[in-house]
Amino acid sequence: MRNRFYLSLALVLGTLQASAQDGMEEYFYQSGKIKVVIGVAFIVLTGLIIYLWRLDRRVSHMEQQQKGGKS
Amino acid sequence: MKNWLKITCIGLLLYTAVFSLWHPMGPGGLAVSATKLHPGRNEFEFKGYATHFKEAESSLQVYVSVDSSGVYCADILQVVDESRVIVSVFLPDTISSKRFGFAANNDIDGTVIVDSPVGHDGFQFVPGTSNSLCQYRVNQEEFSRYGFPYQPIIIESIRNLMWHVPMWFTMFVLMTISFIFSIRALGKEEGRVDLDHDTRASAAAAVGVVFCVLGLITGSLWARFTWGDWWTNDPQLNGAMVVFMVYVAYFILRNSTPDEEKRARLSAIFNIFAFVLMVVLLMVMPRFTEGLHPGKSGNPAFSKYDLDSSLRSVFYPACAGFILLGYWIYRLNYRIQKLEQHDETHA
Repeated sequence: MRNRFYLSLALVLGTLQASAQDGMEEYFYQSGKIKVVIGVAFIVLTGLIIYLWRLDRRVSHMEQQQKGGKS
Repeated sequence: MKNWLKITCIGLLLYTAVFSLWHPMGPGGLAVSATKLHPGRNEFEFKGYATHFKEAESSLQVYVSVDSSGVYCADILQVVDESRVIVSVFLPDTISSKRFGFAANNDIDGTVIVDSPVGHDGFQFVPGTSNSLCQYRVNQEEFSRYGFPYQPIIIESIRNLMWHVPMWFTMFVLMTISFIFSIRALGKEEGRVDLDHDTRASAAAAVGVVFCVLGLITGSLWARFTWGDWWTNDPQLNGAMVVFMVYVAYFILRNSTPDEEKRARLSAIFNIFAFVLMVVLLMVMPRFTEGLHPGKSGNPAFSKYDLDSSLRSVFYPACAGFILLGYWIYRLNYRIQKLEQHDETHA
């Protein structure tokens, strides 16, 4: 689980670095601003995933408590 | 939540993801390479976007309109590719205006216009003007163009409509759910509050805030590359920020009130005011003030000029999909909160 998290983090950072290379301005303006759309979709997905991640943690927390209570 | 609703939600979101990015753009005029035109021969490149200059080369014409002096036809020197054509135009010494407009016309794309970088208000043909110096055709309306409509500056980022706007619609639906449950929590009987309805209200508001944050961030990125700044003084932006802070205050209020009954009653009343404030700031106020969002001074939604059928065909499914997703996440949040409460009372 942890490894997978670092892998996705590395991928995200890699994308960000690629965007920083030619200056953000140029990157987002090229080919009619399609990159802005990609950025917006990326933000939406990332935001939702972060929220789901937190929900998941709350469930894990409950599961652990249940285990602790039983033993 | 019923399984068929979840499947509908997933289907709509997949449809949105695919078609918001894949649907082609309609043709438009992007730019001209000339920054200055002078009397005599001028050579410049006309750049279109999603045009068919090469394919419709035989019918291609390029015009320069000179404010109050007429329209001049340009000689086509070379069609570089589908979106670029090099032309030359002869302007006489007598032209007085410094305001130019550029247009290209062909049988596939119709008329595409570049609102000139030389400070022109907009390309205007005046049919039948005596000093028109060439036979020009304007057939912008005749073409049923396939693709998202081209708008200057926005260009491809029109696709953001399917991502940014549904965030706000989803937030509205979730806050309405929250509002209804807040009222029902208070309306139980004299002096009592319904704690289950209070849990539902807070669960919906929490997910609503998530969508509000996403709407703010995506809007900010979009604004940076169309309006030129991360944050502008648009009434809708400032209103959205105020609404966001009010709902943050709602959760601060909840967390700072340890007594369950008291918390439920206080936050329900606060939530009712927050909802009214949201409706006023995001739906009523923008109608009466000037701003950068489309449809100002009137209907804040979309007129037929802002939203054509190709946009609608993706935009409405996107809204439905995100609203279902928001409802789904709200149900998850509510069920988890219920389980947590159950654990606490049995611990």
